[in-house]
Amino acid sequence: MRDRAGNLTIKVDPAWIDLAQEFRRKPFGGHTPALQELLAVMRTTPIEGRYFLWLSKPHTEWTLARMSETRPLKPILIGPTFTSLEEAEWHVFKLRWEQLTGQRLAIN
Amino acid sequence: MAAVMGYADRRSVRVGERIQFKVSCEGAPAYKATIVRLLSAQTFEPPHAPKFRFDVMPAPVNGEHKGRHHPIPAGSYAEIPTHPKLARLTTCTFAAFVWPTLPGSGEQAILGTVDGAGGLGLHLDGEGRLALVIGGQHFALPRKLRPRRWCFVAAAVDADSDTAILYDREVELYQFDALAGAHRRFEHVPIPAPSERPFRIAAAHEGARAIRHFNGKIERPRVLGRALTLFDLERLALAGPSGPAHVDAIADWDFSRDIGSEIVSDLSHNGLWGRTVNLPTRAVAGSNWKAERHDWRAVPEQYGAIHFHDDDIYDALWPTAFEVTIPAGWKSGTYACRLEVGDAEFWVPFFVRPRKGEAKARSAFLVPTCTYAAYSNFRSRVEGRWSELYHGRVTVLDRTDFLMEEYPDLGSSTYDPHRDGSLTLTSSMLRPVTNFRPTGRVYKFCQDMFFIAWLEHAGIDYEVVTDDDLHAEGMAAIADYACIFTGSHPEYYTTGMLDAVEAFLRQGGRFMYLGGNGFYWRTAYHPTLPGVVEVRRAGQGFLASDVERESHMSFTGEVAGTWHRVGRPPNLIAGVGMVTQGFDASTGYRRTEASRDPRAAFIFAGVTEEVVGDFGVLMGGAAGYEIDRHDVALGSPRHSLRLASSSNHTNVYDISVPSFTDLVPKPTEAVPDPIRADIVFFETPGGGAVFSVGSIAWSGSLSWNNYDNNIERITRNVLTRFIDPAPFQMPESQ
Repeated sequence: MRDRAGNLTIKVDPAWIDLAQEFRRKPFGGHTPALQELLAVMRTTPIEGRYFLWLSKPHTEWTLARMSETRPLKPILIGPTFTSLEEAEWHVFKLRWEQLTGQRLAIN
Repeated sequence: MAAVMGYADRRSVRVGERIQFKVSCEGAPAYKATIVRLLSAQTFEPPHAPKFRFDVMPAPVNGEHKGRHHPIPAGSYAEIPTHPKLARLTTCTFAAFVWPTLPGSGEQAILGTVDGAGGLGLHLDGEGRLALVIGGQHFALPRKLRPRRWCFVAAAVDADSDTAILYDREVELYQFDALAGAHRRFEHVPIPAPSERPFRIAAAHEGARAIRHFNGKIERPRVLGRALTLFDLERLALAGPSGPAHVDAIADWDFSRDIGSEIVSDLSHNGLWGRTVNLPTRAVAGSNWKAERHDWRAVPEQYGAIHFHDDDIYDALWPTAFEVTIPAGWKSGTYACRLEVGDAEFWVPFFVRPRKGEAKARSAFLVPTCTYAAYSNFRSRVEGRWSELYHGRVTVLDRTDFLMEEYPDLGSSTYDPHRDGSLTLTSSMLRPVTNFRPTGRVYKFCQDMFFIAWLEHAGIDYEVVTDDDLHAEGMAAIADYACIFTGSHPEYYTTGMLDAVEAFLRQGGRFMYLGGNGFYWRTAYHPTLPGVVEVRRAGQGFLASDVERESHMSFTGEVAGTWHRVGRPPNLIAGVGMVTQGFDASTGYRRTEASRDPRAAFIFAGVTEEVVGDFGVLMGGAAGYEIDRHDVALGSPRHSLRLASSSNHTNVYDISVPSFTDLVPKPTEAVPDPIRADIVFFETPGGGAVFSVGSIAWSGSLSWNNYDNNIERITRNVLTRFIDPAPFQMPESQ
């Protein structure tokens, strides 16, 4: 979790592979409290530089993008392009996992 | 990159009336305009969602138009028309109480006529120091004003001795930290030259533009006809902001008068009245606020401040590019002006009603334009840190969403902070609105088009009425219809709108509430200015520290907050009230025993499933996004039937249960109340009835499986019965 100043109050442990596997199985919908807590960390990073999805074709194709590091925010399209929101969500999860743990996720 | 944006002078227009379109085009010599009738929105694909369809209307304005760029003149201020008494100031004193929110963030004008090297003004310089500005020269005190501290500021100019005194003194009540202050006498001060510019409070001039906007509150600004001494200034600071006109007043503006209007009243004998521009926030606590009342009408003298923002915007004031008079043959419905340049486009939706007295349909779609207005240019969805958490998924954005970043002067919605951190309390449609369109995120208007697509598919005769009409005309706006039905999210309701729906029901009207989180926030339309709403979020102190002491609407004086807080919960009129939200997944509803009640037989005719709506294009179910629950303790009628309930909502819904008061929620905490959406039905004493679904996602299930599904059947069953004139009977035992 993060406190009101935005600082992390937990350390993400690369051994929490079970949480990654749970998310892979079901990116949207009910999660265990531990996974929900991890997602709260991942989803509350500063908006500058944060990943988001660029709607490249109406509701059928999404391109991975990042916000610029400074305001006013600009979209920076970095790819890849997805045709499934679940796949896009998993891709972003893996990128954030690596940022938080310093280690690449060993599962696909 | 070429860009085109636009807005209309109104959202609702009757056949025979005129609607004007304002368009700005940048980076291209011309743009294309097309008037269309929208039959659906650009959402998902068949077989589970309608294809994007619209009819091009035969409008003379269709075609190429010369492109012109128009800026958006954001930033609020007050202006007093040019007057000899203010144009030829020499020996004089400027004074005011100020509460700066962004001192040191660029030069900011408090009052005066400064225009480049001309004029006379009292400003904060770029460092946040009080400065007298004469003929382009700055005479500044050494001290920087502190943010969010009330401070009396003044400059006394003595043209006979070429001197001036600058004076500031903090006047905070209830604080123990030392009150700061400074003063200094300046020599060789030039004599002010006459200025023909209008006198401004909270902005300076740059030709016709307003610049150097002040951020923060200003209270009791004055121009006095002599150079006050230090002793006089001290007395004026300690006397506070209320009281009669100063004996030396050339102008003495009292913002505690006419709070609900744009009028700026002058207490002097010179009648130097002015008006505010771009709706700065009125009815805000002044330096003398005593913590006794929250109602500015009871103690107006304690609410004599105006909070100005450099990003306030009411009316972009673009010239009319073209106008359309609605011909007799155009059906009532949802329309739009589509603007295109290069590969960019911008939509300006509007709603056509029949001529007065010529309504023919038995039912009408009540378009939630009040809610569209409250959400217009919802900046936090792009910029907000917490949006992704509450939605439970990575944010999806498109080019139109980023127009708010490219053009910051587009302003904000009532969910967003101003640049100075204070909450935006008013929101206008008289500017380009990036989230009022049939494309992009499937939410609000874009989502409501599912209803239009369904009505068109089912061949149901309908007309449209907007919230703007309901507020302006009261029950008369809907009295011609047997049944009215809402959009997916009629969250923002004025007293007049709620009264009108209630009166309609008491006279036998039928009401289908086909959304979630409805009738939630008390809202106010401005009594005279079109296209703008006010929302004050009393009871939700996390959003801004001033929400309680400034918890009465400036537009109307009414106590603000949720209708629940005000004492008129949504359950009273809808049978359900908002529980929570979550946007990651939706579910279906399981029927209850009450759904077997003969009173509800017409609703479930032909429905064989026990679980309904466990499908849909909005995250997989009809129950989701924002959901409402039946609760007799909160006012759901005792005879109302809870016909079906959802369950198993995700833990994203848990997050929002304790309201939104924890910005960083604790998802592991126990949830005190059942999280569910309820389908509810009840009769009203005048032969009317109410059917509520308590879920925003309902509309996303209508088109599932090419409209062959139980949500479509239930909705059609209810509408069919609701337009039948046979009166409903109240059940005998209640």
